[in-house]
Amino acid sequence: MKYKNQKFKSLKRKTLFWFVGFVAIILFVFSLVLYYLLNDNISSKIETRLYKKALFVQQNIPKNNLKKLYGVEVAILKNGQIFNQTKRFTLKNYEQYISQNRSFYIKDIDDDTREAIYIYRFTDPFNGAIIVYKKDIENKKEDIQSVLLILNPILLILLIIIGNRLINKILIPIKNITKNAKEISVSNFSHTIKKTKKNDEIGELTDSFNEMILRLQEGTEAMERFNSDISHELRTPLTIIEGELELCLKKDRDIEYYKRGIKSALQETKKLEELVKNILLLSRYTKQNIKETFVPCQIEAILMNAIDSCERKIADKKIDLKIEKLEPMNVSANQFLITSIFANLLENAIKYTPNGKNITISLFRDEKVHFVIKDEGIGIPKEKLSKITQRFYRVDDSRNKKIKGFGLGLSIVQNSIKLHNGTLKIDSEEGKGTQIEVIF
Amino acid sequence: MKLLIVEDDEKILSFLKRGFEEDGYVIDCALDGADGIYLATLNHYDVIILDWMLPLKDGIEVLDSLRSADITTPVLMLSAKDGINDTVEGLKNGADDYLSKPFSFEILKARIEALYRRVVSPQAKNSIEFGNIKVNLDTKNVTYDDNLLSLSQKEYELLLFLIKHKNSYVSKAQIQEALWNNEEFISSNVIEVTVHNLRKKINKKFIKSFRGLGYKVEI
Repeated sequence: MKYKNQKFKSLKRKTLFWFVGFVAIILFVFSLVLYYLLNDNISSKIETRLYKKALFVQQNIPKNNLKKLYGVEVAILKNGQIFNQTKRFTLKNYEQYISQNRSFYIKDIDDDTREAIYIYRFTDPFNGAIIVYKKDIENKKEDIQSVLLILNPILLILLIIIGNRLINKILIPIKNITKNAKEISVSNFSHTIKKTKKNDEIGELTDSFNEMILRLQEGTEAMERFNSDISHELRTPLTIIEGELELCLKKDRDIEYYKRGIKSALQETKKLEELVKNILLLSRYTKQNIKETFVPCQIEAILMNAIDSCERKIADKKIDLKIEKLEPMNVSANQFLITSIFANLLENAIKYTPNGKNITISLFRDEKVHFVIKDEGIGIPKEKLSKITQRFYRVDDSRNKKIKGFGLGLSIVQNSIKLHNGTLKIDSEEGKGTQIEVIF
Repeated sequence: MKLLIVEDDEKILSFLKRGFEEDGYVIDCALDGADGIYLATLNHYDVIILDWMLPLKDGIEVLDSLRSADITTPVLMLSAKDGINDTVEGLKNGADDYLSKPFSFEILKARIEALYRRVVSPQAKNSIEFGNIKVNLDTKNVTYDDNLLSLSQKEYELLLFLIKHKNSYVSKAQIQEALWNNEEFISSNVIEVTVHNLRKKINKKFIKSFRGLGYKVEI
């Protein structure tokens, strides 16, 4: 559990890490480019401004006018000596700049201020140079730097917060699903996941998850029902066996008493045996493995055999069994299952048909094999028709013991027909009789 | 002790009846819920054994009918259902005990006796005292003035029945109903003989006869 939880966290962290990391790198590169571009731009802007001032001064040399030079101080050199200067020209050691080939300098004075110097050489009206000097230039370069330095971390923090929110928004529904999934067990299907508002991917996941829960629930319920049915059917014979044998052993008795007890226990054991056989029959074959068991079968011969084995019961109840049609046919099928279909349907018809009434059977073939069995029995109430193929279902809820059976017969028939890709049609009128048609 | 067994499986019913009768119980049987309700309202039973799955009316419906008709006879439910929920449902609906199939006959008998003990002695002791008479409900030993009495099954049942109805009149019909089952037809002579024998074994004046009213034991 804990391990899974950590995994979940690591997915969130990983996503956040990569997301923030990538954006941080992009931001960093972007800032660097911005910084250099802006920096160059500012320098060249100052340079242009100072150059323009110099040009202006040069044009005004004849007028000897150094006014209207707002913001800069200027000195005019003639043959290396100061020829003219503004009042506040305080630049010392200007010789070192003049002796060099470059014309523009930016000089840091301290952390906050800088000064810019522009040297303009000219030959007309005399051979000289103009020094344009600007003190206290606003520190734009550092401004960019500090803005970027402050803005970037803020952006990153914002990014982490927003990223975290976004990832949470995506991951919290997943977390909910995980939480629900943990609470679901065979004994507890009460947790379906609440659907989010939108039909997005999470919604789809939720839907599939809920559908899966539902399918599992149905499967488990069917299994539980089967278990409870089977345990009920197993318990009655076991109760009788245990009771009879216990009474036999309680004290010394005459031989007739023992015989009676053992006979009763044996009968119930046989019942259990039949029950187990039928359950195995229901579960042994699946759609996947049934084809391997198919062999060519003489269907009419199997039917006749089934009728023969019911002969005594038919005679006992004085039932008139009519065979309307009996076409010989050779079909590839599972002989055992076909036998059980005929046996169960015949047995049911006989069981529920009163003495002296008729049962009609026909077996014919068009594209498919048709087997029709019609009785004049008690019939099945309409509302119960859909349930009669369920395992252990018996129309009479009270489990009337006068008609013996587990309620497995039709379930076996239905299952066997399905395995042969066939259909089972039941028409019944309560009190008049039932007609069952098997097509495969 | 008189029991009503409501069970639809004839084979289970058969061995229960044999087993209990062998131990001196008086048994009435019903094969379905409706019959069970009819018998339980008609006669007095000490304990009712009730199957859950019954034709016509199931065990829970039978319990409902009995309890709403103020029949407080202890009911032990038998069922092939054995889930916790089934047990709880059975008990909540008014059953006094619950046993799931398959069960051991001896355990069923012990539970029936435990339920019966509550009826006869509210303190649920395994013995009751009535004057100089002591009855051990487990061993069915009866002593009078510390002398062990040898009573027949019917005499023992009659003694318990009279003690249960001490200080009031019980008619022969009531005795017949309590000590013999529905299908047995006995002459009133049999009851007189049993009373006579019990008197002889305990004390001539122990059971008093009142013409037209019946018998009575007093303390």
